[in-house]
Amino acid sequence: MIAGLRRWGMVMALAPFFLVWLLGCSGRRSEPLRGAVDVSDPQVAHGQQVYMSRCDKCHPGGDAGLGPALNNKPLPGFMVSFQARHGMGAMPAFTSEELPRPDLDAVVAYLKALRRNG
Amino acid sequence: MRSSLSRFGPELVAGTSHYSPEAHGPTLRPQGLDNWVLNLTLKGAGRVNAGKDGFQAETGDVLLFPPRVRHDYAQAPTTGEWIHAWIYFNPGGRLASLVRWPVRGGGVLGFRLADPAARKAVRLAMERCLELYRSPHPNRLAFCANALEEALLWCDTQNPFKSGSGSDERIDQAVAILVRGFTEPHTADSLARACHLSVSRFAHLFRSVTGTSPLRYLESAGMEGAGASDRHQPPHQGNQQRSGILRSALFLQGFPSASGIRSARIPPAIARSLTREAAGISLSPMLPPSPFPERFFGYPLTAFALCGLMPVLLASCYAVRPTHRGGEIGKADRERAYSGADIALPEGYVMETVATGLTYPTALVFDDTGGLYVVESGYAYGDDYAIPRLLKVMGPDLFSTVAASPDSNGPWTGAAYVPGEAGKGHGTFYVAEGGHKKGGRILRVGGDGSIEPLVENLPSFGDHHTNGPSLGPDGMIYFGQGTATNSGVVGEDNAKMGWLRDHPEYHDTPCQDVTLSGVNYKTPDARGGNGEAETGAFSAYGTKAAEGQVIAGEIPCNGAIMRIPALGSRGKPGHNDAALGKLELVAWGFRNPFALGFAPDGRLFAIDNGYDERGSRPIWGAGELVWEVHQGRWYGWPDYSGDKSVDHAEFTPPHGERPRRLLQKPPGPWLATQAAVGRTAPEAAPELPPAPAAVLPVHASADGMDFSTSEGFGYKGQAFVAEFGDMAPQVGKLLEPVGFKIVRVDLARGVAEDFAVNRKGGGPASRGGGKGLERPIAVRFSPDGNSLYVADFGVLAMDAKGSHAHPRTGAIWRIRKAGGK
Repeated sequence: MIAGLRRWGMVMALAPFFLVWLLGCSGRRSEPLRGAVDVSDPQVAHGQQVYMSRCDKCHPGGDAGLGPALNNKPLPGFMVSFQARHGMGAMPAFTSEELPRPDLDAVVAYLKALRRNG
Repeated sequence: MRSSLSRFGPELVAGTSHYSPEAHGPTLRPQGLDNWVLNLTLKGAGRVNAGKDGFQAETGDVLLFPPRVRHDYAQAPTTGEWIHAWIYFNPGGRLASLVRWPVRGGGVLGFRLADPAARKAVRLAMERCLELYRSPHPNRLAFCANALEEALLWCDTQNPFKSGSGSDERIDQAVAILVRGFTEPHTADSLARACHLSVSRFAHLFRSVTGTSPLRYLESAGMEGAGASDRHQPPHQGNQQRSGILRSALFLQGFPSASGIRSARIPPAIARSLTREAAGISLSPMLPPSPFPERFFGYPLTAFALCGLMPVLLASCYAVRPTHRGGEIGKADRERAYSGADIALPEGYVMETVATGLTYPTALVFDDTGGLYVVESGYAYGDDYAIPRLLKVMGPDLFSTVAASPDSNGPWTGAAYVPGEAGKGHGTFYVAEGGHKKGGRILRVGGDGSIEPLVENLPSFGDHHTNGPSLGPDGMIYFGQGTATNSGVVGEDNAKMGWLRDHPEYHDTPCQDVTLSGVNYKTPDARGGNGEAETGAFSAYGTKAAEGQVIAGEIPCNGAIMRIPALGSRGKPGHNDAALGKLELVAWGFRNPFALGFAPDGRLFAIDNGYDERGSRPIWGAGELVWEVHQGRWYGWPDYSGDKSVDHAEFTPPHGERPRRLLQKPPGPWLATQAAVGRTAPEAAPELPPAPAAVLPVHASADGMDFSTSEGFGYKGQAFVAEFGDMAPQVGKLLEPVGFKIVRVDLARGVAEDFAVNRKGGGPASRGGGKGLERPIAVRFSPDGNSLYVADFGVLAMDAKGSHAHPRTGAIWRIRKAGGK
């Protein structure tokens, strides 16, 4: 059915929903408000540490701050990785030297845990 | 002439130019330029050409200089100045219909924008074109091109030769053929056949619509690459240039289509044909490399991919995203209400007020009998002065004044208690006096209210003050000294803060010898002069630095943690009156080490307020750093944030230039012996700053820290940090408020977690209409470790003009486990 839609028409039709979804949601879901994030998985725990050293300063606890909120965006992991690797807009790109693949995967795992929280 | 210029690439350049009698002579380019120039007179009048071709461009006039038309202009003799905005561009094929303007003289086209609304719209579009290009957005070129098109469309509404009136579908088709087929040979015959016209009819119609012949059109559009016109091609225009023209034209078409933002000006037939043409052709070389295969845009999968990427693309539009600042609460005085129920805590904890109605409290301290004391700063940003005081909290909203400063040299930023020899309750307080008026001091305050300065003349006249102090396990009093500036260069931001006016020679002082890179920053003279001032690092405003210049280190200095022996610390031999006030450097290279704290294991930690996006050398995205402090180290200011150099891309402001390093090399470790304190060890190699123990959010203003020492409270060994909250817009742009809460930091893992936050929104309580935290500035555990006390500075509103503090809105809160004592 989707294949039958005209390409750009579909983009235009869906874009406003993305916009609303992007801008209209609150990202506040830290421990006092939603309970502690489950970091029992070693990869998630490692991702939390990497996130704190690399990402948290602009997206505190996944919330918006200097940058937009991350913990309320159901982006698939590859898009998070893509954004981190290539950077977009004001966000800098993180090279594989700065953020090795295992660390990046761990950050993605932690972000998913943040999203699940609450 | 004074011009500001932004290069958009080989085909798009924009700027503004200011001609005045003091400026250089007229601009004269007898051969013109290769592309078109759009020119809007913003102020004054300009003289364009001379003799019979001469005319005067006045405010609201738009001009178009076609390619290779003589440029000869200056300010008009009748006026003092001429300010105009301009864009150098190639109209390609699609914009060609928008540049059919009447001739003013000498080949220059133009007319008057009679409608003020259109005039304003053109001006705004041209300004936006310039502004957007300066942004780091990957699509900035497309946005600029769209802004240019918008400007031309607005001009078109006032154009006596309005494009719509003379448009002809067949000629539009011919233009499209010319644009997309520039590598093919074209003749009047082939074009006429393609338009189903006779050659003579085509030539006549083409001229009537475009005002020129097909050949001249090709020339004026810079597309001489067409085979039939090769003999007219200027030698400097190679294939790459011509290829860029086509690609930019395709890009102008491709971006609106790909993004779903469609221009109303594109004739549908041309749009369809160009879109088809774009498939299989990589986008403009002006764009960042595309991560997609070339034919990616030709498949239905594109829709799915773009849908998914849309949030990412939108999220990257930083420059256009709205900002929400924590201090946006208005200026009106307000009665503050308090309710611990409005503050969310981890399960099992409760929060309640201990005292309210304080004026700018900044610190809490316990004596050795368990008595609680609070420091009132006596100063708030915005030059709001009060009396600095040390108060004993006698009960709910009941205070006893221990000491008050006689000379309002605040802010008092912190206090430490040192037990006395005579037993409990006979100790001494050490207070850090920020010294906004007379320089920083460390004061010893007796229980009888006596005040004795132990250290004076600390460099505190600038942005940051004397902070701390904290009693170390070695019996020494440690304190921090902030820097004079944001990032090492005195600039206009310091004039706005007021201190540059009062102390024009004041600047940062390094703690050890540093060698400068010779980087200087030029600003309009912030001292009130008409000229410009060029200023280097560690130099007074208006004083240039030279490459290789050595600035001698001194103590006391800025951006440092220093210490003095404390008198009366029991069981600490060697600390006596003779050593009192003897200053030692512990470490430097900080920006504003406001919070100091000793972990239960005796290690010293400091929280350093990160760089702001302000002043001559704005630095973006610098977090608040928690450092483990080691004696003898340099911690990176003014060239590092953490262990990263500030010339890394992540610290470049979205609308600014990448910060350059001020130091030729890191100063390296220094000799910490008393004989040579502050001097670089000659054999030492440069040493980079270490990695911080934790990084806290940008602009959170983490100002208070203490360590949990009891399982009765929990999280034993972790640091609890008070985040004062952002001071945007003074410190830079934020998408949402940052700070205004208490966080706990596991320093072993570098992980920070929220501990106490307002339920109603992320900013201060007054912003969200709640009764919770305003601006937490200090935390202190009770002596038994079971309760965490929080000093709340009170209401501090922020706007573009500065900060506006509200007296008597400060408070002390207590957090404890439910059911605990």
